[in-house]
Amino acid sequence: MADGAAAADAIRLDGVSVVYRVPLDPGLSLKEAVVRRRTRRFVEHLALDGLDLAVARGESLGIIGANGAGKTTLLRVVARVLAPTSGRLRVTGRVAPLIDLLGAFHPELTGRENAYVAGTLLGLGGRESAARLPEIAAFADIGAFVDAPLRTYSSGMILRLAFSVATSVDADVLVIDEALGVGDAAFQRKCEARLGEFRTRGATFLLVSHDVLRLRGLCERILWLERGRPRALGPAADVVDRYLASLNP
Amino acid sequence: MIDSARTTWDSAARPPRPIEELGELWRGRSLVAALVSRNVKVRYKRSALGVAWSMLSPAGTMLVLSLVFSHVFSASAPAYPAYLFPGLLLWMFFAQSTGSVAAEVAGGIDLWRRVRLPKTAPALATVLTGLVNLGFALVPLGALLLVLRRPVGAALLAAPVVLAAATAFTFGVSLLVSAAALHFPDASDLYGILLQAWMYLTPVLYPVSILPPRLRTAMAWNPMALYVDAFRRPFYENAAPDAATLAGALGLGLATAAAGWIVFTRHADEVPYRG
Repeated sequence: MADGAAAADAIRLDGVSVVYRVPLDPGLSLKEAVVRRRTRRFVEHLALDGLDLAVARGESLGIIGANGAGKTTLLRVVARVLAPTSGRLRVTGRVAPLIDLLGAFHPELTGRENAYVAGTLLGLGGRESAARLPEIAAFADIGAFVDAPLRTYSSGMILRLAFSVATSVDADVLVIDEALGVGDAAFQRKCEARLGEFRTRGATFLLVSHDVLRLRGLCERILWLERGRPRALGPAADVVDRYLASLNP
Repeated sequence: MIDSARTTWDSAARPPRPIEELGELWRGRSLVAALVSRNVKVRYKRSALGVAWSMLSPAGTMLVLSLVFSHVFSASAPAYPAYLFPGLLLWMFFAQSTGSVAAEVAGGIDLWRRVRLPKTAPALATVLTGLVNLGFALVPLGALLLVLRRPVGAALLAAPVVLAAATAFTFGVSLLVSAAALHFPDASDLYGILLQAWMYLTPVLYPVSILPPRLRTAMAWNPMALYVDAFRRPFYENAAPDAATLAGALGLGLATAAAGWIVFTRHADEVPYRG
């Protein structure tokens, strides 16, 4: 806790820029590089441009904007998957990205084994991850399948298991990228309830979605990004109205 | 990775990347353990023999190679299977670990873009998995030495030291190959070809004594010749490598691991930028 302002904020960005170095010739092989002595050329793409942002503890901030505006980049910076090229980021507490964990799942392992590996991937200790397994299995509602290999699961069961693991972490900051449409209507209601519990416990939310009307209902404030810069930041209803108006001039 | 309650993470207070990764990997040790256990389980899950397969598989390779080469090398390496097996195990540990790390790193990149995890964890897990498999294979090695009535004794105490040094070397090479694979999609294929050549340049199948003196001196430049020979000696000759050899093996292993660590951690953070 460097200063008083940072203590009250869950997330604070000061002049954060992210520059992507995109290779012009992604297919350049090692053979070519050595044999023809070619070097790789890059174009630089400014995905976030000196962004200042403070999100208070317990606040829900929605992020909207066109494709390529920097929404996902901002989430990845806060989830610390991506380091800012310049500027300063401060995050207080445990950050959990609510992503689909399918990439971490292995078809030959049982649901229980997969949930354990995925738990450690999200930063849980071994004992902590094991302790959560009964609750995860109950929430995913996969019954006796929990001890069957994942390849025997229906796609809905896999998604439910993934969501259950992702939300089993006691996070202070939840980073959510378009991941709210999981499973059937009944499971969707359970998901909403689970996210509501986080809110009651004072967790901070950062949500990206193209469903701006949904975001207006979920968030207190909305950040409208345009080419890596804030076009508007304010109360959800105001910003969404201006955004929709700009789409239908 | 794990944030203890309510501590603030500050991008302005980051230590240098190679040092930061040490802490990340320590906090992610449960992940490494889970990945190792997953790798071991997955490999034998569909086989009815289960873990026994990790003992039978290297034993089978050793038997086939012994049938082919015993006759050729019987004069220069008496009790050829006992000569072949220890070196073969160490070579297979090195080749399989370093060869699969690049593929594994490439496969895990999508996850890296979305979850913060220690970037060295997949490589370390792969090398440790190889070590577990090597451990299983010590059972048939022991059986072979019994059957051939080879004398073994206190010299065996040198084997874990050599193995530790070889593990550090393997981890370092894995990280260097991974760093190349991050930039070049064909690096792991080219490395596969290199491994083939490397095996024949290393005295795994043949005893070094059949080489002309000039080539034998050149072996000094092949680190794997050092590790294979030092690991084999306690099992085959019932003699420990001398202290200078052990020190050299450890020094080379640690230096390679450090070089791989620094190169890889400096490049691993670029991955998410590549969209």
